[in-house]
Amino acid sequence: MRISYLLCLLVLTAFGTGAVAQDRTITGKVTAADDGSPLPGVSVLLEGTSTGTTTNNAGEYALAVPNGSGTLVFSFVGFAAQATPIDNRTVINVKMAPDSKLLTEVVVTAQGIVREKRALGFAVTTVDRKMVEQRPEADLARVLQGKVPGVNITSTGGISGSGTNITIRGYSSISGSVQPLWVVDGVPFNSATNSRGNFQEGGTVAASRFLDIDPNNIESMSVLKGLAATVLYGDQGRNGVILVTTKNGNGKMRPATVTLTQSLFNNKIASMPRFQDNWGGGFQNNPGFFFSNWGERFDRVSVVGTGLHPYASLQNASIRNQFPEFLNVTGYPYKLFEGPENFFKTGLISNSNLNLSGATERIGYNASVGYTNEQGFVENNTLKRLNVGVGFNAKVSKKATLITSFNFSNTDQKSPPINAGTGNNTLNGFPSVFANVFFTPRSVDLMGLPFETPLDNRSVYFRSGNDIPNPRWITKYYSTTGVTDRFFGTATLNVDLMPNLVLTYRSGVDTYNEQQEYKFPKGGVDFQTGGYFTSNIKNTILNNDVILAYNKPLSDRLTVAGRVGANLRNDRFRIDRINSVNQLTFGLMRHNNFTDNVASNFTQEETRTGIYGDVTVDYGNYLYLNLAGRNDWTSTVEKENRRIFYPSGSVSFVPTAAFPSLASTTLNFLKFRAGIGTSAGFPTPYNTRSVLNQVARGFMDPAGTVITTQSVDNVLGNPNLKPELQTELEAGVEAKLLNNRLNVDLTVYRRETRNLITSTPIDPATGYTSTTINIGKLRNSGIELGVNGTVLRAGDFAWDVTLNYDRNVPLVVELSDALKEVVVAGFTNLGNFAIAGRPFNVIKGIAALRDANGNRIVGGNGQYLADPVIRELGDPNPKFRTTLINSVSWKGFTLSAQMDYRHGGAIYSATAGTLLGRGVVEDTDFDRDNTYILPGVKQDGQPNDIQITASDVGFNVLYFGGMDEFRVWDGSTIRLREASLSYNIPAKVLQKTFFKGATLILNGSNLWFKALYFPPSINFDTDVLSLGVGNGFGFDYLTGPSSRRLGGTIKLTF
Amino acid sequence: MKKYINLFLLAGTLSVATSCKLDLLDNPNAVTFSNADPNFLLNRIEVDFAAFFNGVSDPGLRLTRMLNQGSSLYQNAYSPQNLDGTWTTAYAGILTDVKTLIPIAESANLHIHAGAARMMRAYVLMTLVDMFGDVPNSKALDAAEFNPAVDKGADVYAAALKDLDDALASFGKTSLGTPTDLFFKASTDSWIRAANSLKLKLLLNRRLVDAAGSKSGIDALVSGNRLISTNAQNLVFRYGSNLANPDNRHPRYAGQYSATGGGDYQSNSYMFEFIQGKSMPDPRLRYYFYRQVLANSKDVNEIRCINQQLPAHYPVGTVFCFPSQVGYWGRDHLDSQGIPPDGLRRTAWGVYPAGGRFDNNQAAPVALGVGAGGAGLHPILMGSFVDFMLAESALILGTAGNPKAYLESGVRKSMADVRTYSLATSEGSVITAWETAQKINYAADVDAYVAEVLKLYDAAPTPTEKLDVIIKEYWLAAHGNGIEAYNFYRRTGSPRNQQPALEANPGEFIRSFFYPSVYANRNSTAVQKTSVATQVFWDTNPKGFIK
Repeated sequence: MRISYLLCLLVLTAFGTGAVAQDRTITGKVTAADDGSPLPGVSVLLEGTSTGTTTNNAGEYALAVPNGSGTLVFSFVGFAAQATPIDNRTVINVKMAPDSKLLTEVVVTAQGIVREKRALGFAVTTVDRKMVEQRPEADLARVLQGKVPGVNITSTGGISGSGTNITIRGYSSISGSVQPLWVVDGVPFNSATNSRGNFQEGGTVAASRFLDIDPNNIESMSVLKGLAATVLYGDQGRNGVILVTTKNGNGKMRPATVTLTQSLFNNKIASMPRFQDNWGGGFQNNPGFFFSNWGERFDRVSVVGTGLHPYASLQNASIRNQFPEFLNVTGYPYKLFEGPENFFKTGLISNSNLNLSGATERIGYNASVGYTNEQGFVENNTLKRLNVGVGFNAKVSKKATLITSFNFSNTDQKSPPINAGTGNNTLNGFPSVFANVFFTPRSVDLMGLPFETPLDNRSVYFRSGNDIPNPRWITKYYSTTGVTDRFFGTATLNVDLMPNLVLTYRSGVDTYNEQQEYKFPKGGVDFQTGGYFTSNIKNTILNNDVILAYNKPLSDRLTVAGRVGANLRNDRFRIDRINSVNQLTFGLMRHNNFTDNVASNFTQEETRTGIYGDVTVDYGNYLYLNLAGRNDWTSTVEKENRRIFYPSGSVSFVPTAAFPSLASTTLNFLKFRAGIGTSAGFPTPYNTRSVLNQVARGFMDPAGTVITTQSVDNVLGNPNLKPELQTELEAGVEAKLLNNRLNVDLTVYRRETRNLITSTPIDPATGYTSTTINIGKLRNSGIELGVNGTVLRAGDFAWDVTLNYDRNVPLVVELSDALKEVVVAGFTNLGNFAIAGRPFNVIKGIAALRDANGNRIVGGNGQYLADPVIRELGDPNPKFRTTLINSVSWKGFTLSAQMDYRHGGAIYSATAGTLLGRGVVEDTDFDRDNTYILPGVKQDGQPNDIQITASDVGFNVLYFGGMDEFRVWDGSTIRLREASLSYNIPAKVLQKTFFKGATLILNGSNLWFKALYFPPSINFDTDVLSLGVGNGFGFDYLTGPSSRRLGGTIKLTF
Repeated sequence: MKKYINLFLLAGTLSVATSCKLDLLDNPNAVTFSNADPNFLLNRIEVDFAAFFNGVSDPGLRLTRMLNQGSSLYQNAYSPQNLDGTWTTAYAGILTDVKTLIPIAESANLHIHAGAARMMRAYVLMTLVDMFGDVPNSKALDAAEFNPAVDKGADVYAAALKDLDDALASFGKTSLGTPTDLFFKASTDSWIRAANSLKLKLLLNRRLVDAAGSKSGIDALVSGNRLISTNAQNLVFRYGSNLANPDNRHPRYAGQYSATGGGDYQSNSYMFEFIQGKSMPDPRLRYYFYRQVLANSKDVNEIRCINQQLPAHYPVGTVFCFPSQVGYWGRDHLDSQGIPPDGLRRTAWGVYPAGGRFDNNQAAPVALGVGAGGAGLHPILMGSFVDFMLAESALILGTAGNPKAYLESGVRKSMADVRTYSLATSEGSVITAWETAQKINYAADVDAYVAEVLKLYDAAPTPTEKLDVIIKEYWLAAHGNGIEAYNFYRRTGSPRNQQPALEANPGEFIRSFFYPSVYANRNSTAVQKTSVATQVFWDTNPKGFIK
């Protein structure tokens, strides 16, 4: 840590240097009138002169003024300016009150810079803590859904603790990460989703590590969306930055307060399909114990075949004989059993939080403890999280303040395995609790049949081959767990070197240890002999910043501020794995209870270092110019491509301030802004050099000799790999209208990424199956609109409305001659593709063969022929998203509701395809006795006249015929995301108690939704991502029933 | 003021400039090229070669009715992605490793390594042509060319032939070291015989486009007399019975012998030939097929066709639904029905070649580890195959030797191989016990069988019909090798009168496969075929020649 050493040295040298005394020095502190917190950056000017300064981070100032009286003018945007005669005082403390006329906000921007919102030439959205606390979701990102225009948040599913995908202003890279940077208390925070495998290997259940943040411990959040805003964060900020300030890290001085909150919610499955109750399991209208539900009507037969109990027909005698009681059962009924309806349970979510804050003269402190205990809607799905944190804000000396925060979290997540399936067991032989639940044939007694053999605990189920794992056996015996211990802490030292010069040194560490265990005892269907896979992950980020900031009012009208900084960041990741198979004794999950163990480990290290600078010019409080730039060096590419510089600039112009005559009660405030930003994206480590793939136990000859093998790795290293370049133009307008009752914030942007780092599959005929190269250009154009206003205010009554709208159009402008298309995610024959001239991530898959006129062609059996060339099946990008939040308050009551609407965006849904193709939902309750002729032509061009059965239509052709085309739907969805009713007990009532405040809240999330173009009985929730967190989307592989939560919170302040 | 800024800039620049932590480019988790080991590389090539064989053999087995083809139409039977694995194993696995190994091996005078690598490359190249037609070769395996164009199939065949000659030259040199070698334990004689036999295969495949060249080449091989002839010289890849870490079981066994059974359906028409094709059951019947039940199901939910009539387009006497009444449970050609719960009922792979169970009427369901535990083999090129090829060549091209003698030798070698390999497995005692109990004299049965075959050969009036007798025996001997079967079916049209597809109009037979999607979708020079009826260069037989 050479740099930190140097910086420390620098800090020490800086101490003791003071301002050169003039005639006399006035000192003092500026605080906010409402909460007493110090106000940094307040301009202090001797009236009629250019002598002035600004307050430091502790709100303090020192200004040398000539002898004789004068007047100090304190001004700070958003606050009413104050003029105070000096008289004979040497200490002048000032309390400033917000200026209600201006209603200007102060926001935290990159690297902790606090700026007035009107001065910003780019879009920043701040999220009030009231919008995130006391929510039923433990995952902070999911709470933000719909609340920030331009930020798109998708959960991988409704299982407690599952991952969450976040993108800001679309997908700006093909293969690079598109996840935003999280900065907690000023320090980068690892938000990775450490999937043990891909989406076919149980990857979607892994948690995204921002799960370790307690939403109830948030002081404030801001979201920096564009590159003009994020350039100081370097390449890490290219996907946007989510700035989180915890209560422990905010550094505010507050009166002693204790806040206790307790929430209780229930947690239910929200996306339960509506089943039909007339037809039972079987095929071709024949009753039977099949996967499919194309059997006979319940009112026509009462038993299957001879009426044997399904377990009497089990072909495996060693299982069958464990159920002697069923062997002689006759007349086992063929009737409706409600299986999936009763498989899910109601979970309980409890969330407790205690926060303690206070201040003495020189030190402010905050301490918090939070505990969340969440049960999923599936057995054995739990999430427990303990958060403990403490923060101090200490005045070390007259010129130095130290702000620290320390946070510890322990997150303990447990879930049955979840894996992609297409409606036929699970993909890739990795088990999944949802793979076979939803299409349980209506005549199968899921909840009544024994699910394990009494003697040796093997899974047993209705098919005579016993080739479906019983979902209840999976929930009882299989589990995937992740336990994370995490520490993140920061220390920031601010030193006033000179009146206008502040040195900040910030050092932070974020380190966690995640212990993942996959437990699969023997006796199942997928890992018949048992499996136990453990991974121990350790990730550490060390981050150091040193910033020198200068701020000087040059005259009444002109203020210049500038800063230069340097950053060093080092990331280390390590994973140790042991995979064991072949369990000896049932149940015992220890590696030494398995005969075969394979150990492996992996380490990765990455270092970035950068210097950056930023200059802001403020002219007359109506024209602002900001220029910034950063130069980075990184360790992930070869030396010649290592360094990259990227600048940004933005302007903000406030006509209503420049020309006061413009301002009126109709138009209170108007601002135009424009910005241009650039950034780089660096590849992940180890992509520049090819390696050999060695397998120690590659094969074993029949004599038992172990053979070691080496082969050229299928990934081609690319020594010429360089950073990808992003450029973004954005412009916006902000206005306050109608006596400040209506606020409008509109942004348009266009972002282009060139030299896209593309980890692309290539033709294996090259000798490799994939490589990482720089190709092409991707463009995201979009519009973000936020409108909020007060519709009605009368006495105690107020009705506020917020409307957010965003639309992003991602276009692959060009690829290269080398590659005509790139598989972004999924399979080569069904997945997200980047194709030049097409929207990014279009879904391609197998379609039915069509003739020149577009008619589908049927083969000799009356069923569609498959096209050997895969076709584009849809564009998964929603056309737009919009959110409407209505809030009505009266006296202490507030009723609010958030509605979301997503327009368009194709989804390949295995859930819908399976439920329709297996014939279990209401939409399949049609006349199955008839035969049907598919629309289309025969191979000779004549109209199709070949009759096929209902089973053939539903199963063999449309939904299981291998043609993906029939499993794609438009994903437009309308949703009641949140609703709440809160009541603040009036202060009068509390006067005689020792409470300072008390609030009661009833709220719920995901209360209602409707996917407009899906068959209604599927009840499909489009908020699902079966490919896991990454760059692909628009795919559902039976992994993500969603959750609905309802409950209440009580919040008490002492 | 200025001095602070200067100091700050100095500190920043210094710390960046002196930071040596940026040299983090070598992947610490993998072996680098400087540590490549020729033994380990060849091991991987051999293991991948077995995987490649298995992947290509599979569709060949199905199309030639040696296993069930589970699709109702030829056009839909193999979509482009079905053969992605084969393409990937061939190029990104074997061929690139061969290319890496040869210079390392030659510079170290490891000539067996180099020769073996060349021979396997030749096999892979010719097989790719057999499957797809024109494929990339001269432009392939170049990290600077992401879109290698195809070479003409004939040119790729020529490259394969040159590789075989180079391999023979390598084997003739003195090698400084020997590889582990999963095939021949580094016996150069066996490798030379294998390479010569591959030349025979290649030359015979080209006979329709270059009869004279094939004749002279094959005559030279016959007079050279170094072809595979004994059991020990067979080019086979052998598996073991280890379940995990690594799983070295035969892939067919691994796919079928589990608690839930399932896996491949055997072909009704292939089984029928062994049960009723001649006046006596084929001596190999119980080695090839393992019955899990001894009686046929009566449940339509298990076998939907049991109540159905012989399809109208099936000639009378064609096997349909069941090859017999005693539990042989397979599927008809191009039967696409959904899978009923018959995983522990359907006829399974036997002891040869998958390492499963010998059928001694025990009728127990398959299970993990039973039978020979998966210690089977891939019959890649057998002495019997060489004899059948020589029989065809002698009959059609007039090369040296008597076709009838080759035919007899081929049948006898196949019979002997099946028994020899099976007896050497853990199932050997089951076989001998069964033979003792049933008073079976295998040698006598083989003699009777051979006599019947030769009678059929003599009775066949034309060369075409004589060839059909030869090829049918080749087909029966080739169990587990769909590559040869698919080739001879397209080359000769035999065995003739195969069971028709269940669908009356299944479309045209697959004369070559659609290009894999990993090639067709990723390579900008690729042009996907419009039809599976496209013929490869050596297949000059007429359209509709086979069904």
